[in-house]
Amino acid sequence: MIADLPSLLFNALVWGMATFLVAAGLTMIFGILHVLNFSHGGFFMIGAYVAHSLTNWSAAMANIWGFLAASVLAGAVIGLVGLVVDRAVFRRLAHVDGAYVLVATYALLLVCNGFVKLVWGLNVVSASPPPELFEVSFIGNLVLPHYSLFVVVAGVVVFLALEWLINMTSVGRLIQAIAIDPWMARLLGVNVGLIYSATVIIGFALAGLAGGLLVANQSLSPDLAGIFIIQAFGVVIVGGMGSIRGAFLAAILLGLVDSFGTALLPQMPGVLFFVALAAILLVRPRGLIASGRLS
Amino acid sequence: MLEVDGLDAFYGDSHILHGISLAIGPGEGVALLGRNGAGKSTLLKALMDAGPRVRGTIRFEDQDLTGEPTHRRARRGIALVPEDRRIFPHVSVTENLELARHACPPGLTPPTPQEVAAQFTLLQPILDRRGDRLSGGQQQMVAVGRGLMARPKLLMLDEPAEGLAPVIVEDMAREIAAVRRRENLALLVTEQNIDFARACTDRLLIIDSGAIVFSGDWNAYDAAPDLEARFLAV
Repeated sequence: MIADLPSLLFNALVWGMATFLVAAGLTMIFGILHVLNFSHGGFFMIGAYVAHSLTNWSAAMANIWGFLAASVLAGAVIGLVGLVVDRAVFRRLAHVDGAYVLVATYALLLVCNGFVKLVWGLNVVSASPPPELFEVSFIGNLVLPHYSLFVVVAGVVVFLALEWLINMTSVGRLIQAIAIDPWMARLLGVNVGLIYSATVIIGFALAGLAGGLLVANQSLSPDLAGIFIIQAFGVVIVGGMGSIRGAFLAAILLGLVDSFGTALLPQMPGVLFFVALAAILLVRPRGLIASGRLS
Repeated sequence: MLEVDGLDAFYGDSHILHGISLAIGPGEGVALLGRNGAGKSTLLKALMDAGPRVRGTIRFEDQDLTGEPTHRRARRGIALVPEDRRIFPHVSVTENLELARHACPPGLTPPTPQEVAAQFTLLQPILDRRGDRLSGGQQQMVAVGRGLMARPKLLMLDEPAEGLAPVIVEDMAREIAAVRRRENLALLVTEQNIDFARACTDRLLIIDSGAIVFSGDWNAYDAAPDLEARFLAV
């Protein structure tokens, strides 16, 4: 089993980056608005369906560029939905107890499920990667499906882009300032509401983008909302709520746990993930990077 | 310039300010004195819509501010430097100052951090230091400097001298008074330190239990020695 170490590491990385793609928007919205968005998985799912419909729409989309374009468009569509959700839900509930927002985002998740059933039906639809990503490379015994490599690269690119945005740009530093002390930012003339809206739009767009990028190794069904979101929540919590860097580290760590766990306990897939989650939180209850806000 | 009429302010069900009326002209320096809990900070926050629920009218340069959010009031030229300073820890002093340029009204060029540091000389050696590596006195200088970044017309300082060494307090009073004269800046300052308040203002208001109980210049205050015992002594 351990002889196959490179494969286990590669699987861990694929699991981690796929999960990070889903978790990024979730932890970003939490880090800035301090809202836990239960509906994230629902919008991830709609993003996947939208991207799938776009790629099937025309034969010209049946290549890697079409696939990427469809994912980006799905991100844009879900980002626009985020604008509506921000106006209709988050802004209205900005001044009441956080529990109401939690309930409201759970309601939104149910709405997403109903919407998918209504528009795309109950059937399971299988999606496959574009032909360029269908191939497989080998390094010795290590099997590297190109689509898995693509997911790893996408995860790293999204991570680096967010790191750059947050730490290297003046907008990012302003966003961090708002995450730390929105009251003072308002006194300094910053339109905090505008930045909150932009955050929700970016967070939702990341959900839609993740849906598009990850659609190809999933079968599409109205259950898709729940598949990545549990592990994404795990990654967000272990990473330290609101920390993008923490989520990235936690995604790799929990990816290793999942990968080795599946190899060690094949009859109980996924169980070590939850054991590790509990163990890490016993040692570091606030996660790996415990700032409680964007970092 | 600032006219407040019949202002009430509430935190939850607690009624903190009762029918406050006051006016501050351009370039005028006004001290707001009173015991802890008298309502000084609440009044400053109420003027910015930055905390309490407010009833009554606030006018600034003949514009009614009712319903206007905090950041727009800041952009009209009202700057509040809060008592707890709230320096952003994740960026340098320079960037803390630069963040405040958001409040600069359209058409005005905000000063550079170097220009502000030229006025507040204590800032010069710490411009590159991170916000979380400052002493209390340094934090206060940054907070006041940040208040000046947007070229405000009215600067409100909430207990600026609190917890500072006496020599720094003197420096700061002198520098604030100098900025006031140069920029024709109106000042509303709450303070426990009466010497500091006197050094940078023309007249004073005393607030007690959420109502204004005295208004006059410093000569009138000196002529009424019972004021201190009744409203300020702890």
